Amino acid sequence: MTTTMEIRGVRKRFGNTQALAGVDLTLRGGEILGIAGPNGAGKSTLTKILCGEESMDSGEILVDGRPWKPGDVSDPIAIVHQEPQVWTNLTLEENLLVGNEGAWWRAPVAGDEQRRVLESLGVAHLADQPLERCTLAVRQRAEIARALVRSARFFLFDEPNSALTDEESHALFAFMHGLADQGYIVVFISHRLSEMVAHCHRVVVIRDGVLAATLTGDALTEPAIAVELVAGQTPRTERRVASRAADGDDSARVLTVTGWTDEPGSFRPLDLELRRGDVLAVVGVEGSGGRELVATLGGHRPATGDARLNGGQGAKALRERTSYLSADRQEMLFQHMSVGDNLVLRLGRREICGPFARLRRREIRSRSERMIERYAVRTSGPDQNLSALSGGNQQKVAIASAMATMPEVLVIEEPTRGVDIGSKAEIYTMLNEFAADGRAVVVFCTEAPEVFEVANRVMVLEGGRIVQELAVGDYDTVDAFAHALALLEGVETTQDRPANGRATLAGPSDSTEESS
Amino acid sequence: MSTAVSPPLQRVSLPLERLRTLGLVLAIILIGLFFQSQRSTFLSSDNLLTLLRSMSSLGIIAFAQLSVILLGEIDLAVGAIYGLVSTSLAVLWLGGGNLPFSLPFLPALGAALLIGLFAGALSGFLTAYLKIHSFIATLGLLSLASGTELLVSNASTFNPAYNTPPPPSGELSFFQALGGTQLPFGVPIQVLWLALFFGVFWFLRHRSIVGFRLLAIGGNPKAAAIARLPIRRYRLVVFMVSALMASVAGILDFSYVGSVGPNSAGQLNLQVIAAVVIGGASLMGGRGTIWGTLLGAVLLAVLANGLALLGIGAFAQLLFVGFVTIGAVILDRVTSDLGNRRRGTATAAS
Repeated sequence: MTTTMEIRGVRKRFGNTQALAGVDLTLRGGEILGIAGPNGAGKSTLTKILCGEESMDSGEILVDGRPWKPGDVSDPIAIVHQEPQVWTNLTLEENLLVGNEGAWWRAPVAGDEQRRVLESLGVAHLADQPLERCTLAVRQRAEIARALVRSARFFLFDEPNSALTDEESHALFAFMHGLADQGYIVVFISHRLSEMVAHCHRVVVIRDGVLAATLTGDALTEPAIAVELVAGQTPRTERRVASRAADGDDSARVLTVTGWTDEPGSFRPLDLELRRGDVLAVVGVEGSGGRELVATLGGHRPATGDARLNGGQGAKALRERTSYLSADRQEMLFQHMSVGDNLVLRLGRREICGPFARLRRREIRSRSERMIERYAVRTSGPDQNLSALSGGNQQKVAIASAMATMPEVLVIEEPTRGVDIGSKAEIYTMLNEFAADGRAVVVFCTEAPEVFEVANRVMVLEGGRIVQELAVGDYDTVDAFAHALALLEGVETTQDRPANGRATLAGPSDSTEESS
Repeated sequence: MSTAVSPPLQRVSLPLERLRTLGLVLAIILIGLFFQSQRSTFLSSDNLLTLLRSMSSLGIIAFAQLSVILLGEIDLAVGAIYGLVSTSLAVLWLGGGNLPFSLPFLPALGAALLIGLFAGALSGFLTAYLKIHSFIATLGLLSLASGTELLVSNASTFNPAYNTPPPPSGELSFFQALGGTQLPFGVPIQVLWLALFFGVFWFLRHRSIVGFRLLAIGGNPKAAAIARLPIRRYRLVVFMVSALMASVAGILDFSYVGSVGPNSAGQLNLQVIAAVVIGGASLMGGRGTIWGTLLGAVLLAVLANGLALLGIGAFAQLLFVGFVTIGAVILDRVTSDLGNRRRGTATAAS
């Protein structure tokens, strides 16, 4: 039996942002469909709608011709997350029984169905192991098994292998193909274009909230996807003047790290130098160590090695003279406070206090008003509650507050995640002006166009190792740059994955390693 | 110069919080009117001053507890520290109990305060540096402090005025002044202490960077870590302040009552938390005002006073405190849900 799902005219609006502007897409059982799209283009909104985390404003979804509402009890859809949503305190078998416990007067017992599913996933021998002692791959299987038990017919793999070892990834892909062969609908989302090309029958590209392109057959190649991802991006009108100080000039050095690595060894020890005017983009998929590297440079993650900053040395100097912003806005903004409060929150007594630690409110107010005006934050004023702002404006507030302490180095993970196009441009300008002011910026990025817009240097990480450094100035067009980057990112470095990297962080794998 | 130029920094949350505060005032007035209709002495100035005096300790400790709760923590040990410090003072100063020595008056006073401060530092250290949940850490401190108190004092009652040998009269009159002074218009000195600490904590909470950061750290600890706020130091200090205020209240009450014995704190521990919660603070942290806390304490005091006037015993009074606390929290839920719906935000979940 094959299933079909028809998505018709799905629209979704967040404040001023039209995240989805009418998406039409037909999904067929037996086919692996890839969904690609730059950040903020609507890809994640669509997946959230499909799994019921967001509601749609208009449009409909038909499953086998019948209207279906995401979040229905008899949910036919199963999402396989990067971080499996399972109960690590329960055993693998018990995980399958949650919500399906049977009679109240006895402990839940697994039936034939549960055993068959575990058998088919090749994890039956781990049935009585608590998931906290299992690897990430096994937890993922648990999530898939839960879906199979409740007879889901639609599987959405959302960056499923970003933290798996290569071997585990191959097993997962084989299983994905198996599901498709049995007539299930399989959707695959990945940042690695090479995997999209290798495993998908069809790839659709979502851009600006609509289905912009469909690639199948011979047209389905990595460069083709890369070009579609960046198409329609307005080329930047003025090329930023090369503000970077000359290499020989010692006084232009802002940050130098040598033998730099973190505790679990997410990335290999490396040397790095940032000079005034530098905007360094660190690029890499999850598990490449890029995100971890950036967090250590921002002083937010403990690291070993030598760090020298303009006017200081070591971890303390790093914490004092850098500002860090994480990728998660909930995690770096104070939603229960006002815009003005958020803008000045990182400042200390010297900047915002009078005698007896009294807040100088008038000055705080004029300071935050200046910041609001300078960075074009669209708000009714400093008193407005931060949660009333759009994602893009919240992001501007977050970045402005981090800049307010005048750090030598500003470190940002995914500076424009979930941000509309207009705010994106403004954020790039903010970052560039900040660097041009004689400071340095480090961003962790996943999008080629963003890197092209914002950075002058690019460091590509794969498996904890620097694959290559690129100078953005060497490329004339975003297409050429995206192509070059796509080729680098696809590189599989099977041998070089660090032994203690994210992939095996999930637990002591020796006792519960899959036999396969 | 118009004052409208510089509205308070916490203005954003005010509409809802002001609504809550108004509701609390209204509730106090209604309950007060009811008591007045039953006993005409309720609104007499004598009774109102008695009421204020009776809530002084509760208020002083609750202001400090608010700082703890603003951080999303809780201090369950204040009642025990209150007892430990007043008893320690009595034992050290007067001798007796299980202690083989005694101290002169001023060192005894200093030592008692230090004991309280040390207990608070211990709670704070366990919570801030060893990352033990404050509920457990201060529950442990509660037992430690009570146990120490009973052990040191041998569970006996101390009464300086009838002690043998009697303490110097100057020292006795110091305590009488601390707890028994009548200010002009028959105002008991406890009202002054309450007003003084209200002023201090109001400034810290609403006008200084301390309150600003408490709000930030309590409302979103992760973001506070990213913003490099001194989270651990704040955690440590709020528990020390909380213990210090419990110690001060214990000594003031010892001065007023003129004696101290086992279990002198009574229901104080729970009343302090009730006052803060009734005052609109969120146990999750990041929300709460000094005004609200004061009104929460007033409400509890009005209840205790009025019910006593009606001749309702202490046991039944406990029931009322329970009802009021739960009712206030339900009301809080309803109003904040309404507020969220009115704003129509998707952030209700956060």
